[in-house]
Parts: sequence; C-alpha cells; structure tokens
Amino acid sequence: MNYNELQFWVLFLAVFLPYWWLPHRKQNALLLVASYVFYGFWDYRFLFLILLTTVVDYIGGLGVAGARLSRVERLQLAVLLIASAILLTGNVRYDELAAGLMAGDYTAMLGALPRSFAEFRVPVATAVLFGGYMYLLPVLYALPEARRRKTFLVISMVANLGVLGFFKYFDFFVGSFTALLASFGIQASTPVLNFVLPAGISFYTFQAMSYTIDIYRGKTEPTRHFGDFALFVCFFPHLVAGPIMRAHTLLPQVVRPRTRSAAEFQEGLALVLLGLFKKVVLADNMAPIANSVFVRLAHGDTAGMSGSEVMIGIYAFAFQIYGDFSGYSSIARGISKWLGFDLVINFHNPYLAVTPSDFWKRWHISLSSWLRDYLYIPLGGNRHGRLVEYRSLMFTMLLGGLWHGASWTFVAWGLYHGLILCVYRLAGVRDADRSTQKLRWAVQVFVMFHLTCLGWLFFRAESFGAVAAALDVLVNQWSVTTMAMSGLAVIAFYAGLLFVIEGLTDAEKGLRRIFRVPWFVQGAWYAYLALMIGFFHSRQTYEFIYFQF
Amino acid sequence: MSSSTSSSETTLRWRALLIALMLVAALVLIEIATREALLPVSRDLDRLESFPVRARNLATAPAPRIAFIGDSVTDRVQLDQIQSEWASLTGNSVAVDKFVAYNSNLATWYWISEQFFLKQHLKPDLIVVTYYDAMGLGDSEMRDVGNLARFFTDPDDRPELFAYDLRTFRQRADYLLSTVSLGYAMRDRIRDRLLNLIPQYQRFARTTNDLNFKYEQEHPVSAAEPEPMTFHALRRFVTRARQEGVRVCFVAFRPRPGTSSSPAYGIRPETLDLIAGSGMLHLDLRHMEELSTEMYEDGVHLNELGMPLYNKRLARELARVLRLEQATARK
Repeated sequence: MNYNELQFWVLFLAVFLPYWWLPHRKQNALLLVASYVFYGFWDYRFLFLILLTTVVDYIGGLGVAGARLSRVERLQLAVLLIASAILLTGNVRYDELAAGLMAGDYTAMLGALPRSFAEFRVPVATAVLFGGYMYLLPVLYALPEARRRKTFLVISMVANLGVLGFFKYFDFFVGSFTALLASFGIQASTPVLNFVLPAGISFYTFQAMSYTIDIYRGKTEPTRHFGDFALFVCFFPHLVAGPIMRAHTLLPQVVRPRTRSAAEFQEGLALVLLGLFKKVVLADNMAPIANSVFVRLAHGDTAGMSGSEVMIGIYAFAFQIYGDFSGYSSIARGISKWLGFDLVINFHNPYLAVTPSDFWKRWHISLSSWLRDYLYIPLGGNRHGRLVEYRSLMFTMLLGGLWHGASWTFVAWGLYHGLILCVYRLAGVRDADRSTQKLRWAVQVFVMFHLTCLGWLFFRAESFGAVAAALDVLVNQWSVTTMAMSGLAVIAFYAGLLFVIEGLTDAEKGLRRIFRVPWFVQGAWYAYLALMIGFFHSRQTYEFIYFQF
Repeated sequence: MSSSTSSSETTLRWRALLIALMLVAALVLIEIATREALLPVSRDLDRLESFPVRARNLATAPAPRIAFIGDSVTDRVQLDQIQSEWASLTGNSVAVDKFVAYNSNLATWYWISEQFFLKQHLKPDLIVVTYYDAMGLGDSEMRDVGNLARFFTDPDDRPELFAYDLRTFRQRADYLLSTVSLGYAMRDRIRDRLLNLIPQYQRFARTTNDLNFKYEQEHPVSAAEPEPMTFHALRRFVTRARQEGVRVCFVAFRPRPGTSSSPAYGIRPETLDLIAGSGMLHLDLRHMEELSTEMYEDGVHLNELGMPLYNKRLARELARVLRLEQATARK
C-alpha cells in the first residue's frame, strides 16, 4: 500500500477522522494499530520481525539507562518476544490457515502448521535464545554499571545488525564468496536463503539502533511506555522509506500530547501535494525514459545508440530518483504534520549542491547525518589527520552504498562518492557563495550535478558491464540526436517549473514563504500541482524505489 | 493572544477558500477548453462521437455488412481496398466500416460492439476483431477508461463494468471522474497535444515505449509466477454475440517478423475451442509470409507497403468465410 494508491488515502482518512477527537493516549494507540495495519499490507509475516526488533531495543534502551523491568513486565515481554520469534521463523502457511479458519476446515488448518521435527528446529532454537535472554536479564542488571551499559548496547547492536545482515546481506555475501572460490577453481555448494526483503528494514533498523546508542551516549532518555516506543519504531508515515528519525527528535513528540493548528495543516497539505507531484508526475514520467536506456545497456544493445541518448537516460534517472525519494519524504512529512508530528527535512535542493560534501548535506539528509554521527565521527572523522579522515570517509561511504542494497554496483556507488569527497577535500575546493560568486557557483553546480549523474550510473545499472557499455557509448559514440533533444525537452517539461519553484522557496526549508505571497500566487502554485497530478500523472504506476532498501 | 490567533485563523480560512475557488475555476476552465477547443478539432473524438450513427447506417445497409472493431492495428484496414478486392472477387459490393479506439484491448472492443450493435439489436453480418499478441484474447487491464466512460458505456453498465473490467479502486475512481468531467476523461489527449509541441515528441515517445515493451516481453522483471490467463472478456463477447445472432471473426494478425520463422506468439487452444464452441470464427494470419519486415512502421503497424497486401488478403479470407457461412446456412 503506497502513498500513490487510493487505498492508502482511504486508510489514512479512517485514521485521521477520529484522530483529533481522541485523547493523547488513544491517539497513540490508534497510530500504533494503523502502523501495523499499514505494514501488514506489505507482508504481515514481517510484523513479527518489527515486533522482535522493538522488544529487543526497548529492553536494551532501559538496560543501558539502568532502568530495571519488573518480573511481571519481563514475563509479558518474554511472551511477546518468544511468540514473535516463533511466528516469524515457524513455517506456518498463514494463507492456508486463514482459508481453513474461514471454511471451518480443521484438517486444512492443521495442514498449514509445521509438519515435521525439522520444521520446528529453527523456531524452537530462536525461542530458546530469546527465552534465555529474558531469563538472564536479572543477571545482566546486576553487572557493574559500565559493563551493564556496554552489554545491553552490544546485545541491541548484534540483534539489529544480525537481523539486517541475515535478511538483506546473507545471500549477497554467500554468493560473492562462492563466486570468489569459483574464480580459484573451487566449486562450493553454499546455502542460499532467497528471503523476501522486509520492506523498510534498513530504515527502521537504523532508527532503532540510534535509540540505544543515543541512550548510551547520554543524549536521550529511554521511555518506559512500551506502546510509545513501539510507535516510535513503526510510525507509519515514514516507516518504509524514512526520513530516519532520531529518538531525541521523534520520541518526545510521541510521548507528549500534540496540538493541532491550521498553519501546520496548511503546510502538510502543501507538502503532500508537492510530494505527490514529485512522485506521480515527475518520477513516474521519468521512469520509462530512464528504463528504455538502461535496459538497452543491460543487454549490450548499444548499436546505433548515441552518447547524448545515454546522457538523457541518466538525467531522467537522476530526476526519477529525486522525485521518487524526496516525494515520499515530502508526503511523509505532510501527513505527519496533519497528525501533529514534525519529521526532519530529508532533501534540500540536492542538484544545486556545489561540492560532494554539500551534496550529502542536501541528499537523504537523515541517512547522511546518521552515518556521520554513528560511523564517520566514531571512526576518527577529521580529528586525526588527513589519512584517518580519508579512510573514515571511504569506509563510511562504502557502508552507505551497501546500506542501499546488497550489490557490488551499490558498493561501487558508495566508493565513488567517497572518492570524490576525498578528491574535493584534497584539492581544497570551497563552496562558492551563490549571492556573491554567481558564475563560479553556476559552474560548480553544473560540475557537481554531472558528477552526481555519473554516480547514478553505478546506482541504476544492473551490472558493471552495463556501466562499461554506457561509458563506452558516452565516449566513443557521442553525437547530439533529435531523440536526445526531445528527451531533454520532456525532462524540462516535467521538472523545469518544480526546480524553479524549489530554487526560489529554498525547497522545503522555505516552504512557508509560499503562504506569505499574495493568495492568487499561492493559488496558482496549488492549481499547477493539483492539475499536473490530475492530468499529467503517469499512465503506469511504479513502486517507490527506496522501498527495496 | 487568543484574539490574534483567532484572527489569523480567520484570515487563513478566507485564503483557503479563495484558493479553493481558484482551483475550481481552473477545473471549470479546463472543462470549457476541452469542450470548446479540443472537441471541435479532435478527429479522434469526432470519430468516437460518430460511432452510433455509423453503426446504424452499417446495420441498415444491404448485406453483406462487416464492422471492423479494434485499435490502431485495425485502423490500418483500408475500407476502400477491402471493398474493391471484394468486388473483384465476388462481383458484389460489401458494406464496411471500422470502429477504432486507440490504446484499447478486447474488453473495450466488447463494449464497443455491445454499445453500438448488440444492445441496439443492430446486426452486421460480421464483426471483425484483430489481435496481435499472446494476450490478445485474454483478459488484461482496461486501458482507455476515459473513452469507456464517455462513449462506450452507460450508467446501466456499471455493475458489470465494476465486477469484471474495472477491478481496482483507481480504475473505478478514474471511470467515475471521467463520467463527470470530459476534461478528465480526455486527459491523455490534452497531455499529448501539449507534449506534441516538442519537436519529434511522438517519435521519441513511440521509440521509448517500443523499447520498454520489447524488453519487458523478452525479459520479464518479476521472477514471480505469472497469474494464470483468464478469458472472461472473450467468453462474454462470444456469448452476447451469439445471443444477438451476430457472428464475430477473430483475426490473429502477423506482427513484424523477427529472425525466427516461427510465429511471434502462440494461440491458446482453449481460446480456439471457446470461439468455435460458440459458433464464432477465427482466422489465423500469423503466417502471412508476404508481409516482410520493411512493410511495418514499428512492431505491429503496417506501412504503405504492407497495407494493400494485408487488406487484399483479409478481404479474400473474409469473402471465403462468409461464402462458407452462407453455403452452410443454405444447407
């Protein structure tokens, strides 16, 4: 269920209509249920995974802060944890179970349950593991403070990274290892899990991790209210594609009563319209242009292709991914505002960046700041000389690339960004001032945009062969064709006015400016967005790209 | 404090009201522009509006009467070529007309025949429906919801439409919005007219679509098991035609030949059984060897070289089919 589907808006309306009539606690309960329903539409089995992560980090956060759970609380959480573990790992065929239940067919229901001892091994082992953890909690509480804090932090990190690594990276690393062995002539038969990637796993795992780390660093206080923490982890507007919220920003908004205001509602409406425009008008209309180029590159069908056509394909993808991802973030922020929440701004005119470090202050800001605070700075940052700085940068960007997907092209994309960050720092390139150095600023923006596009080539290409094919056509088959010029005009038609407006309003940072202009200017802006959404939405709908991360 | 808050909220409400009115005005303006500016100059809309009269004229003309229903591939059927070939073959004249809706599929063709012939009890001797891929006779997503709402269906058809053709919330909303707003129903045309201001846009759009379509067919992205093909639209089509005593002839057209000598697509035996079982006809022209690669504009559309060859062959086949039919009827 996506923001670009009407079903979502029906669900949202069902939540929104009673929402402001309810007291704060019931609002939270309603949001929690809605969040689980929303996530359950993707794949209800992974609800148990979210629940598992939630319980482990809840216990971890309290453990780090030195707050003990009572025996009854421990028992309740143990039941929740073990039940989640069994339901997640047990080979229950839920569709058959539900069908049997509806039909009153008990044989069919029994047939949907695990049948052999082998099928019980993993759920029993997982239940024993988590049961053991709960049993040992009093022992962990009794440890000396420093050791206790570290132990709970490590358990939380291992659980989160373990889940992420298992579901997202297991097949990738095993497959790469097998390929490496094969290159030495060793044929190995390694297990492949072929799991479906749980939607938004990278987003909510990073968010949950930041909670425990921030408590460990003394930057935030844990909550004792399990429902509040569960809502912090799975708040549906940003659950599957961010922005990644920090505990000290989002948790207080969950815990404290929220207020309703017409101004916030107005800003929410503007954000939702803007986000829908970016997704259904910009991104979805760019997708077929980008696909038509990248699909040819993937199959080596480059005969008769010109460099300018490849360039248009990459430009189209640049605007597609911007529209897609920033569109999601805008809608997430907009509907959160309607519910009284304020999510962080995730994009700030990234294609107006002048240097790589400026780009990362503007693109997926919540992830880049997460990587900066929890990876780059702990690795040494820029405090221990140039060599440490460059090493930290490269490592952070490599992991940033890998965060996006289990593929070597994402790793290459991350390394490429690490490299250009290092080169710019080495060369001492400074950000040009837009107001005083207009020409220098324009040149820097032009260069940075094209460097970013070169990075998107790695990001979008299905293989290194496709990257090589694109570079070959760009260099050896360069000519400006009428097809490329038409493509450029189509991109300008969909993206042009948006970028002018975003440039003028300083994107979402200055969105409120639009409320201070004369009403007919604001009306014209709304009319443009609404009519483009109504009349120029793509004939085909595409899933949000970042859902796969 | 509270009075200033309340005054700012009042200002905000007035502003919101004015903006809402502006939006409504913009929508009304688009509606008027569509009716007053687009409708009179659009040959496509003009043609769709002429369907009822032309269907009546065809059905009341002297037999034999043939209605060609389909999309842009059917638009390559040249009626004058069919008529002259028919006359040279049989010595008689034939009444023919075509009812073309671009970007449509079998479900739409059913609704066209239903709306303009079957529901009106108008009986041409033959309705010819041309398809050109493996999905052609199977159920697929309804494409032209705007045309369906404005031209090819009535409010009475909604229960059937919503049960079989418009299954998603978005499709149903599109349909209902299209019934109230011509501008919304014609949004694809409005978009195309605007984008056609870009030089070479049509060529660009066609190339892009062709490439995506080609690779999607050759390399499906989804590894998931494809959903089993269903034939509800076909079953409904032949059942209704049979009820009304109208013959439908389904023609398997030859798309641009590739390097392989085998046909570009297969035909499911159950579709042939369904057609034959209901007393309808099927013509397999997939192997029409005289149509070579250079006779196509793109993957499926014939050019000036291909059209005469195809039309002659089609006329011959239809004459043979109708003669056989008449001979069978006399026996």
